[in-house]
Amino acid sequence: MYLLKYILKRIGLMLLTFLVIFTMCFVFVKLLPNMPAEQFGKDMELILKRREMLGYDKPIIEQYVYYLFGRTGYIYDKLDINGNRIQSKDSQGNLLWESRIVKDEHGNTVYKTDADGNYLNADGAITKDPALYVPVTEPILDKDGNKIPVYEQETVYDKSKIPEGVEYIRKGMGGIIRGYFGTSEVLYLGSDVWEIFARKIPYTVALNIYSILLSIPLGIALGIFAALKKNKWQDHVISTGVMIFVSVPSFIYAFLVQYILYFKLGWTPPVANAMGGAWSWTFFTSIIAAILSMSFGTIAGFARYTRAELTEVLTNEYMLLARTKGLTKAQAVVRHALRNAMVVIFPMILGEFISIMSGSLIIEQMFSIPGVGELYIKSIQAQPTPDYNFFMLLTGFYTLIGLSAGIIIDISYGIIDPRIRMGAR
Amino acid sequence: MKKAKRLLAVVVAVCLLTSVMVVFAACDKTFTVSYYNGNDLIGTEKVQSGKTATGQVSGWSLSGGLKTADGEDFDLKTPITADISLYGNFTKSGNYTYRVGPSELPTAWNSHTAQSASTDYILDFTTEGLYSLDYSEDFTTFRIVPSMASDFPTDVTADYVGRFGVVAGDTDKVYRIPLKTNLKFDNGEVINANSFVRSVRNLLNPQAANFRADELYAAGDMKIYGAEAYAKQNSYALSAFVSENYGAEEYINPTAFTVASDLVQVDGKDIVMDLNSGGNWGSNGLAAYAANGDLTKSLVMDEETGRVKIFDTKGVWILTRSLEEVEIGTNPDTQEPIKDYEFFDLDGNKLQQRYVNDAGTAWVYLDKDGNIKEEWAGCRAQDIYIDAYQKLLDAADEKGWVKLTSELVTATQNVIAHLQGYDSVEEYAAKCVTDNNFVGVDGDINYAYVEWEEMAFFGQTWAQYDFEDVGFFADGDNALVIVLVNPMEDNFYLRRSLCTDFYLVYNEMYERLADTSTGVYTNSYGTSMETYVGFGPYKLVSFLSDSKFRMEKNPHWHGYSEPEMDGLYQTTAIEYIVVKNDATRLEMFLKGELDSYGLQVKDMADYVSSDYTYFQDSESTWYVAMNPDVATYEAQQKLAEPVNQGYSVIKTPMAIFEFRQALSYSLDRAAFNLQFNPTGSVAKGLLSSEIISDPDKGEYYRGTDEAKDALLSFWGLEDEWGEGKEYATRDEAIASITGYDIAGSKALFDQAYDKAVEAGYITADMISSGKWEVQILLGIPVAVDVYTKSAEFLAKNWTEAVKGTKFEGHLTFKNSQELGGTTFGNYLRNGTVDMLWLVGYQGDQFNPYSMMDVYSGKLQYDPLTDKSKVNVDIELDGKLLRATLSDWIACLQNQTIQASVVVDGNVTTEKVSVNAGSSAPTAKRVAITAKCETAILNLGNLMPLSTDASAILKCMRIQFKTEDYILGIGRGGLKYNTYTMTDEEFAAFVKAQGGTLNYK
Repeated sequence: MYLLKYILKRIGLMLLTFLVIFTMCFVFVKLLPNMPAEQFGKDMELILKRREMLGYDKPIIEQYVYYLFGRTGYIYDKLDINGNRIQSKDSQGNLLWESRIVKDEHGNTVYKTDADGNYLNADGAITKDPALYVPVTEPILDKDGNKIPVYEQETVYDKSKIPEGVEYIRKGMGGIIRGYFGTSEVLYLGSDVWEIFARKIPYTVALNIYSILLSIPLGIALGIFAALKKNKWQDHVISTGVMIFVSVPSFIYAFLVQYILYFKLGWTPPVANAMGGAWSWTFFTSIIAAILSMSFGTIAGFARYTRAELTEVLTNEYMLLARTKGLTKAQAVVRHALRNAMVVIFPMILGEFISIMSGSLIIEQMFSIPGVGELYIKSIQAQPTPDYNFFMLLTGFYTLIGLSAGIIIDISYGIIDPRIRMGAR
Repeated sequence: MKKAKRLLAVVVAVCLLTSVMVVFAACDKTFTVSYYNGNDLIGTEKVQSGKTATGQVSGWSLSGGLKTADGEDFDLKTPITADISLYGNFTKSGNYTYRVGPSELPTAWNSHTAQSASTDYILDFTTEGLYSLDYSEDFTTFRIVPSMASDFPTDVTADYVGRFGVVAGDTDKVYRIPLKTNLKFDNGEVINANSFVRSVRNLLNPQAANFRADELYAAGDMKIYGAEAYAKQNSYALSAFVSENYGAEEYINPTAFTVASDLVQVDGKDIVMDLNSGGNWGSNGLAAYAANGDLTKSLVMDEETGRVKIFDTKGVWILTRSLEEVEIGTNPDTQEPIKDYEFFDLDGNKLQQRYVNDAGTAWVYLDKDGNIKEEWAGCRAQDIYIDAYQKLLDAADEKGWVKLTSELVTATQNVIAHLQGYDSVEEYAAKCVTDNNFVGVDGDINYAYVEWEEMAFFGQTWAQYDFEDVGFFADGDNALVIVLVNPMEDNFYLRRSLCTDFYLVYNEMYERLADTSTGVYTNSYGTSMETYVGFGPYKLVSFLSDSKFRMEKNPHWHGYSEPEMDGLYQTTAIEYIVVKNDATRLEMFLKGELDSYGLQVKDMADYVSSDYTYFQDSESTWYVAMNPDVATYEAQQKLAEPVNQGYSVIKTPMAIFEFRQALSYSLDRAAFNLQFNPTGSVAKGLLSSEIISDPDKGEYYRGTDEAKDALLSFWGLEDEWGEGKEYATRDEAIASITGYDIAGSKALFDQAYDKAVEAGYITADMISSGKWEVQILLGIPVAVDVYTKSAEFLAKNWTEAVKGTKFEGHLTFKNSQELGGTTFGNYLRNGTVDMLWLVGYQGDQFNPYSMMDVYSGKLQYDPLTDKSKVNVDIELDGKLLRATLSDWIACLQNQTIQASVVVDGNVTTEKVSVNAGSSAPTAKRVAITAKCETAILNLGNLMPLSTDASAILKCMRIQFKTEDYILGIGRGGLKYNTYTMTDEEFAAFVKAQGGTLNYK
């Protein structure tokens, strides 16, 4: 029960922390310079108009409210200078009337054709693509037999701007609460930011998973081996290697791995082939060099911690007791030493798995992997304005992942070692 | 006899038989047809006599017709009766994939909103214009040819009199453009004139505010009638500066003003002050100026700095004002001391210097606690100012826009008078009458009453506008009609403007992808393969953002069925793969996996002399830019920390022309280029040698005498050539310019020193102590090598240059903090930094005339030099004419200006109207451009540094059409590229070379 309370409390605190971070990030990113520079031959008015549509001219807090809750739009029929409603026109300039699609005697839609019976598209050109056929329509008549016009509509967010006496419809638009994270205005202009993120994240996850699957067993195995061979030449070799790989930044390995495996040996392609998807065999084989580059540091890290933990455990008296009770060295190590050493190692493994969503800027760039690695930095550095929607989506996502990871790892201590009871007094 | 008869019969029979056999034998004979690709024999064909040749060679494809050895066309229906050699344009059958590895791929290429250069990677190949630039017939220069259009435009202005603002007698305003009848999208759908019209309607959609909508009314020479009105309908917008619309008279005739609903208007347009924009003043607007005046209720003392923070009436912290008051001289009229008050912005930088007389009526004096001292409070001028500015503030909307009423015009006049240092507009007006600085070419008006027009804009609510009233419509299925705002002759400039697809999109899909459900118009057209349909020679067949995309030949493209295209477009596919790392890109190129590689500085040592390296000059020129405003320097030097401990920092010598010119002469441009721009060359003038002044003749601007004289003037050689002089010819003098004159610079440095001493910039105390430094603050846009290391270079260069001059040991440099990648220019414009370098404008290689606008308009780097006060004399049509630099530049932009005739050095009352727009003779435009270039260079604010250029390594298997780079068409591009090996053959070739190619 106390664990449940503890978890609920942590989740509550997490949400609060999340909200604070999220709000702060919104405010900070909005404080960055965001006015585009004047350009030769550009109509700044047009740019300002677009910015106004996006609400960039509003106070930051107002923008934040819009971002979270969307805006309430008031839709009404536009009036001309004489106060009359304005009839809509189609893209050909024809007046629009309320209409219905004409069906033939068999109930099939009738499409526009030329004199020779060729189907026409909306531009009046002959088309053979059924998707582009234009249905023939007939106007719907009112009770007096008159055609019913379709009127141009205007959406405003300030109700006071609706001309007096004009009827309107109220409609909620956008906002995170409606599941709308926004459209990219800079990096992926016109694309839904969530769609782009969802399209890219599998590549990052795949790279990280492959790397983890390689590095964790190998790192732990090397650590165990080094611990068991403590102070022997094998330990020295492993420890030296670990020291090198922990110290040298990953982009150095990446460069060397690419140079040797691709340029010198020709065993791997220079960059990823992602066309088949994140889980395709071609993608996997094309990122072997990237996986290796990602893994060296992790292998070294796990080897170092495992060796250190295991070395300490192996010197405990209960290990001696286990051996004197007749267990073989292997049995003692596996059943007692390793399990105790895992109290520290396991949360590390968990942490690695949780971080599979995080991209590696350097490795993804070096091997042209279309993951999320550089999205965050690009969303801030985007010109002429930061890509706010991307930035906030990533901020929210990673903040949530990070905070959740903290809770999961904390709880995992209790699972690995029953002596630890999170939340107990 | 019988025997004889028999014998004869036998002979005849034999003869007949022989003849028959000969005929049969002849008929049965085979001849050899030899096929040549260029001079290479690529195959032969045995053809029976009298039969026809196939024209086919195994493994090769024939493009176009065949010719005989004599160069005559050979018809394949001609029977072969002898051995023959036939020559044709053969290409090897197979795959020819052009592979490129840029660091970024396009993420969205909707042509209506495209903002990134990488969108061209797709649009260049999947779209085409109505017309296009191509090689001339002899491949030595360029020409414009129809692409989607079937012929050149025809002037049909007379047919539209009474519509679209066309009046009888107008010409060159309405053009009919015939379209080819076989145009199709890459999905096979027909393109007709209405497809274009509908696309333009979508482009101009007022709900969308598409980024490229202004291309039809704001950019370039060609402005479509009604496009702006349609795009902006139902919105209130500011348009041109008021003072720019009236040519040389510049200011509005007072009778043109009308009042409607209390608002002052001209031609139905409001007059609007934007408090946040200085209009023609090139500043941040009255809000910034106003902060210099004390809004007394909003003053707070900053205890740390001892300065007073000034807030506007909305509580926004605008400026910090110093309490220091310094006597700086004596008023020669009144013998009263002149005092200097200092005003600082939030960063502590001085903004504006103000001089007031001892009466001190202009300013409020504050004590240490920030309280107003009684004897200074409520003085007259201050009241006027506060009152006037407060009126403007009260009337401003949330954007800071003020629609002027008559009362507000007076308020604005008073504010500006005050900013000019006068108590009221009346006092300012009295000064203008007597002060030649204000009379000038506008002597017939009183500047004090019209100066506000320089800061004002026209504003209007754009009315509801029908698309039918936009000058872009279809004339039947296969012709477009465009109506221009300003007439353009059917010359190169019109046709080049028509090298556009008018933002053609696949409307069905485009309109389907538009979304307004979230309250803001968005459109995902051109963001993936599924959301895009092209119409160019290639079509997109796969796309993964940030990874790779591939284009293949578009089977529906009309060009492939046209004889002119025979032998072109050998490239069967184009692949772009993102490669972020330069080293990886080079490795891929060397292993034959990419077909070109852009050389980096670090590669130059290895590949600069490679047979496969191609250099490409650009039309852009990089400058070193400075702003010569003495007041700004005075403010900055008081805030600057010395580099040398205990030294006094002075910056004012930078305001001296000779000092800046000395910096220019002593800049070792060649060394700079070698280190930072190895593909570039030394820039000697404002405009690069790649700029074309006469596109019809292909003449380069720098090749004209006028442009050469501009260089000679700037480099001090204008009197050094001619008979008996150092250089015999103008060209010899030009050739002697190296862009580095260290001896000349030392003399100039010493002259500058003397002037600085004379002006009191360097005082006797400083000289005696020796502890002074002229400190130059170098603006760093972003802290990357090219800026930080070149800053080191400049500092070292000029520290060395002043050795042996009076500035030796007294010139120091500091780097600014990062200024930001796009707005760094503003820091020089407002004087926050002293120098920027590697700045410039992306030039238009065919139009130096429109480019001149950037040197006096809102994009200029030195707005504190008022170009409307710089007079330039130009000889046109036998008369010496004088107008301001601003006016001359305006007349190149199709505005009519009034220039004064100068006789014997004196301005006469005679005025001449001048318009040097796109319809003016080239010689006239060149003459004006060159004189403007001379004037700008001789201000000393922009120092030419280097011309932009790039270098690429070309893949071994690719052949360019021309080795020379031809402006407008380059070396032919993909259209003309040919390959010596197919993809498979090249892969085998690379393998045979050990897997790595040697391009050194």
